[in-house]
Amino acid sequence: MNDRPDDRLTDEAERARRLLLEAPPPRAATAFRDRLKDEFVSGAIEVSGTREARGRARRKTVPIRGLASRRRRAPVWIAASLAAAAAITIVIGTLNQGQKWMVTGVRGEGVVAVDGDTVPLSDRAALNRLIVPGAEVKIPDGVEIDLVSGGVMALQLTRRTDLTIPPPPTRWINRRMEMHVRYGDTRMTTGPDFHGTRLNVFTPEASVEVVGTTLAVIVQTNGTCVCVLEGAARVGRMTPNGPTDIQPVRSGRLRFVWKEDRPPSSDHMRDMERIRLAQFRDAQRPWLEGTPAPD
Amino acid sequence: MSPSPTGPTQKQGPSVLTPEPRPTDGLNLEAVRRRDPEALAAFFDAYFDRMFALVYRLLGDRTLAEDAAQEVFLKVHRGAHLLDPTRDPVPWLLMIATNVCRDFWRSGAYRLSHTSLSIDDTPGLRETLHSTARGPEGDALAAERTRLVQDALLALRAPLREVVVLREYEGMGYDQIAALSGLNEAAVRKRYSRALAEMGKHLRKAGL
Repeated sequence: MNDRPDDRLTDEAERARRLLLEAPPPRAATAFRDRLKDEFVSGAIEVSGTREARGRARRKTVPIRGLASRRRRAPVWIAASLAAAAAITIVIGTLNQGQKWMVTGVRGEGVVAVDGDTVPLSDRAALNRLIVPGAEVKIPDGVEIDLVSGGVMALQLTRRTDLTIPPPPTRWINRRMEMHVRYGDTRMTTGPDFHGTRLNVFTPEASVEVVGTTLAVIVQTNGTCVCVLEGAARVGRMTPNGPTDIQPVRSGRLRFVWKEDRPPSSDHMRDMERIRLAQFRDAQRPWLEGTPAPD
Repeated sequence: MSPSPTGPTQKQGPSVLTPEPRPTDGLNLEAVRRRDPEALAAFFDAYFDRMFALVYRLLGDRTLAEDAAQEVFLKVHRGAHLLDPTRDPVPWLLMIATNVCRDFWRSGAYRLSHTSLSIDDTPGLRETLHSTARGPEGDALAAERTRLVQDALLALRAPLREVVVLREYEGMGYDQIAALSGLNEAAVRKRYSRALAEMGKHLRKAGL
C-alpha cells in the first residue's frame, strides 16, 4: 500500500494534522446510546423509523347524560331556562372557538404518525382531518409540516418532532394555549390575532411562556433549547412542583435547559437558526395576515 | 470528554496503513449474522463509539450524527446476514457510515441541520460550557482548541472532510479511501493535501 506523501505537507498543514489527532473523539449522549442499543439488540430498530413503537388507546369520549334520561320530569319553565342557557352556552362556545389547525405546507417524503396511525405526507386531506387538537404527532427525519390557526399562530414541525397538537386559542374568553413537546425541533410564530393569548409550551425539562413572538423550541436528548427571534419568552426549568428559575429570553438569545441537574445556559442565538426562523415567519405571514387557507 | 482508548490520541498519524485493528476476538460474528441478541449487544458495544465519532466528524452536527448513527445500525441490522464472519467488519461499517453521511450531505436535512444549531450542535460549545461549569482553566482552553479544530474541519467541503476524517481518524490508506469513494488514489492524495492546507490556514487565522 502506498502511503505517506505527507512529506509534501507544509508546516501549517502538518500542524493542522497534529491538532486533528489531538482532538478528543465526540461521544454520544448516554441516553441516545442506550436507546439505540436496546433497539438494535431487540430488533426494534427495524421498525422504529417507520412504525410507531407504541400504540395508544384512542381517547374515549364520555357521552353527556341528558336530562331526558332522568325519570322525574322537571317543570317546564326550568327545562326551558336550562335549554336557553345551554343554547347560549353553545352559541358562545361555538363563536369563541378558535380557528382549526390547517396544514399549509409539507416538505419531504414519506409518512407522519398521527395518534399511532401512519398518514402519507402526500395525503393533505387526511393530514387536515387527523391533525386536530389533542392529536399526538410524530414527524420522521426529512419531513416538515407547517400548520396555521387563522391569524393566531403558525407552527412548523420538523425532524423527529413528537408533540401533542394544542387546541387553538379561543377568540375572547380564556385565551390560553398549552402545548406539550416531547422531542424534536418545533418553530412557532404568532400572528396579529394572537394578541392577549397566553401560550405555555412544556417540554420534559423546560417551561416556556410566550406572549407573542417567533421562537424555536428544540428538544434534544440532553435538554431543551429555546431560541427567540422576536419578542420575548419566559423560560424556566420544569420540576414536579412546576416551573422554577424562570428567566426572560429576549430577541436574539437562547436558553438551554439541561436535562441533568445543572443551571440553564444562555447564549446568543445561532445565526442559522435565526435565518430558519425568519424564513418560517415570512413564509407564514400571508396565512397569518388573512390569506384564506384552502380547505 | 475523555479520549476513547481507540481514539486518535492513541494514534501517531497515518503511518498505520490499514484500518486500525480492533479487538474482535470477543465478537461472535456468526451469531451476529443470526441476530443473536447477545452477539448484537457485543457488536454494538464494540463499534458504536467509533461509528458515532465518525459520523459526527463528517456531519458536524450532534442531532444529525444521532440520526446517521441510527441509520448505520439500522443498515447493519438489516444486512447482518451478509456479514462475512471470517473478515474484519470494520471496512463494511466504514462503507455504510460514509454512504449514510453522503446521503445526508445530499439531502436537504443536512442543510437544514445547520439552520437549527443549538448549544449541542455547536462543536465545542457544550464542552466549553461544561468546562466553565467546572472551572479549570486548562479544561476550558482544551475545549476551545477542540472547538477551533472542529470548526476548521467543518469549514472544509464535504468531500475534503471525508478524506481527512477517514485518513486521520480511521487510519485508512489512500487506496482504501479511493476504493470507498470511487476516486483514484491521486485524487485522494490531492484532496488530503488540500484539505490539510485549508485547515492549516483556517487554524492559523483562528490563532492556533
